[in-house]
Amino acid sequence: MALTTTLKTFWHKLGSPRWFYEISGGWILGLGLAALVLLCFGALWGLAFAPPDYQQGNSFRIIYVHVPTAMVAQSIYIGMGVAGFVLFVWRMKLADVAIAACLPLGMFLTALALFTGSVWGRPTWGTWWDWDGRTVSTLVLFFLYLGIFALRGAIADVELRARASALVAMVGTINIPIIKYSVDWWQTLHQPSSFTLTEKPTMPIEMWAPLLVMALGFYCFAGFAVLYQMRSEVMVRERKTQWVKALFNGQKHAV
Amino acid sequence: MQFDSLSNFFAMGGHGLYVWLAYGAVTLFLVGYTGAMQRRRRRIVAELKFQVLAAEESEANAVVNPGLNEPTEKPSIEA
Repeated sequence: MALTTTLKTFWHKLGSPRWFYEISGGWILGLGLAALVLLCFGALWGLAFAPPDYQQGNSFRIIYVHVPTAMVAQSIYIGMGVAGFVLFVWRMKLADVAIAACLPLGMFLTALALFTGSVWGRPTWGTWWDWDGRTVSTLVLFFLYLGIFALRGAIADVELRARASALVAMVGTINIPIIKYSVDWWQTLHQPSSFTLTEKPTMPIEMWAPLLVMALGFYCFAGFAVLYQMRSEVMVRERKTQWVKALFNGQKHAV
Repeated sequence: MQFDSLSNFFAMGGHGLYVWLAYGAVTLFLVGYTGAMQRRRRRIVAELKFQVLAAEESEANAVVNPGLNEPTEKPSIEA
C-alpha cells in the first residue's frame, strides 16, 4: 500500500515542471561525474588492456564505442516512445520536454553507431557499407530521429507539435525489435549479438567487462544530457511563471 | 597492458586509422555535445536574467516617472 501511494505521489509530482527542476539538479551532477569516470576508465581498459580478438586483431576494440552508442541510441528512442504515450494518455507537459531533450542526443548517437560501424566494417568486412539487415534498420532509426526533428521544426503550434512528434515516436518503436532481431532474421554480414545486458555474453570476461563499463558510462551520459537539456527547456517554457522569475530575482547564485 | 610501446599502441597492429577514427569521433561528440548544452543553458539564463531585470526596472520607473516606459528589445530564446 505504502509503495502505491509513493508511486502515485511521484506520478503527480512528475506533472510539475517546477518539482522536476528542483530535484534534477543533483542527479545531473551525479550522472555527469559517473559518466566521466566510467567512460575514461572503460576506454583505457578497452583500448590498452583488453586482449585483441584472435580473428579481427585490434580493430575489434571499436566494439567498446560501437555497441554502447547503438544500445543507447535505441534505448533513447524507446524512452521517446514511452514519453509519447504518456503525452497522449495523460497530457503531461514534461513528456514533450523529454522528447525534445532526447531527440538531438538520439540522433547523434545513431549517427555515431553508424559511423563507428562503418569504420569497423572496413577492415573487417572489407567495405564501409553494406545493405545488411542491421545496418539498414539502424539507418531507418536515424531517419526516424531526423523525421521527428524536421517535424518539430515545421510545426509552430506547440500543442500540435507535441502530439505529432509523440505519435511518430510511438509508431517508430516498431523499428526497435526489428533492429534487435535483424541479425537473426537476415544472416548477412553483421555479426550476431555478442553482448546484451540480459544474457550471458559469448565473449571471455576480459573482453566484455570493459564493454559493460562503457555501456554503463554511455547510459549515465545519456541520463546526464537528457536531464540537462530538460532543465534548460523547462526554464524556457516556464519563463512567465513566478518560480522561474524568482530564480533571477537578484539571486545571482541561484542558477 | 597489451602493447609494449607507445608507438605500437598508436599503430593498433595496423588498424590504428580505424580505431582512432572511431574513438576520435565519439570523444569529439561527447565533449562537443556537453559544451553545446552548457552554452545553450548559459544563453537562456543570461536572457531570462535580462528580461526579469528589465521588467523590474520598468516597474520602478512606472512609479517614479509614469509614461517613460518603452518595451525593451528582447532577444528571442526559442531554440
